[in-house]
Amino acid sequence: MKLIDRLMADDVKAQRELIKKFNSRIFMYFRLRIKGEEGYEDLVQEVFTSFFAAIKKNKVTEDQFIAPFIFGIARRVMYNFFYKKKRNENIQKKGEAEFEISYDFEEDERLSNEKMNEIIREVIDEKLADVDKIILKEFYLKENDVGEVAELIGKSRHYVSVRKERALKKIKNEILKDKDVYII
Amino acid sequence: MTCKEFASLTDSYLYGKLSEEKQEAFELHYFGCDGCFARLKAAERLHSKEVPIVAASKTPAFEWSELWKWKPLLAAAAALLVVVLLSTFVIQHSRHMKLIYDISTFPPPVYMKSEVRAPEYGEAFTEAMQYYSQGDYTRALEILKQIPPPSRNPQVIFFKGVCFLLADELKHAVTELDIIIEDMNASYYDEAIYYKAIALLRMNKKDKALEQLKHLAGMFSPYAPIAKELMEKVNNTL
Repeated sequence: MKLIDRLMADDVKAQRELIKKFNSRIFMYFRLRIKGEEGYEDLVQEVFTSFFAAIKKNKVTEDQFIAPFIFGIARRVMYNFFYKKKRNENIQKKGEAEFEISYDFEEDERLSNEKMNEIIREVIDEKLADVDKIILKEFYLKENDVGEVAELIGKSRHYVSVRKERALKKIKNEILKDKDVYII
Repeated sequence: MTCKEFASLTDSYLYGKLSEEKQEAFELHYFGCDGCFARLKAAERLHSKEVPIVAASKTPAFEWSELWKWKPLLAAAAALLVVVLLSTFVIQHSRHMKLIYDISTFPPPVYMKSEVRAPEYGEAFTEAMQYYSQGDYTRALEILKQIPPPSRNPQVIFFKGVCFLLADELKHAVTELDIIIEDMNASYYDEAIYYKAIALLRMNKKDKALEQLKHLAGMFSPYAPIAKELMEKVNNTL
């Protein structure tokens, strides 16, 4: 049975699946888009409430349109956030939405990130060579660019880029294997 | 946006360096692509500095995969090695063959018109043997080749075989001389064995050549002493 049909039938399990899949993406979107602003966490719930309301109105009928539809809602919610902020209006509080969801999005995101940190740590410790660790450390923790890392370890930029990409791919594959973090 | 493009833009996205248009395309992609989102999330987690990364040293250990970088150089080195080995083989082989030819040098058997071992075979044979006597073995062979095959005339076959040997057409030489040997022709039998042995030697079939020479050396034949001599040369030199 299609996810969209299950959602339309108020299948709670389907709703959880959808939230688990998109929660982290929406958090990522707002975190990057609304950097430094407070209160963006509430916007995640607004996206889901809008989405479930739209489902009830048959605005999405195919699974393949779920992702772009949610993205569209997140974008609209983000623009509204800035618009209301500019006009000093109160941002919609929890509970005012027309569709209630009882779900702790922030806690879910926190747990998801913790679990993901754990997976990344494991991959780094067990599956990466020293050179990969050095590259990731210099690039992400010390924020050196590829050229600086290449100079530091005495290799070419291409070498550093390729090794960084391979390391990320290994981490990605482990993340995708873990259903607690992520639902495909 | 493709997954490959996505991967190349990940860091720029996390650092907020993408244009609005590219950023939107990037975001739309990760909303719909599980693999790319997992990759982005991994990069974002690393970027968050919440994951400690402990590396042993700043001098990376040798990686076998680094050899890939040297692929063109390795290929060139391998090609050079093949060329050197081949050249060495060719040089050694040509030295070996020169040695074989040196020790198997033979004076071509003399054709005597008056000999009684076999009757002459027409005008063509006479003409061929004139060239043969003058040392023009190539022209002699050309004419001998034109003599109709049904002829089992041992004289024709023998000199045809010898001409093939002198022209370095060794397989044909062996074929012709074998006819004499199979027929057990008393007039040319010993000679045929001797020249067949030389042909086999020049074909680098040392063991088969020695077999023929050994057989000849054990016979009561004027060719037995030179067969023995050649055997000794082969055994001592090759």
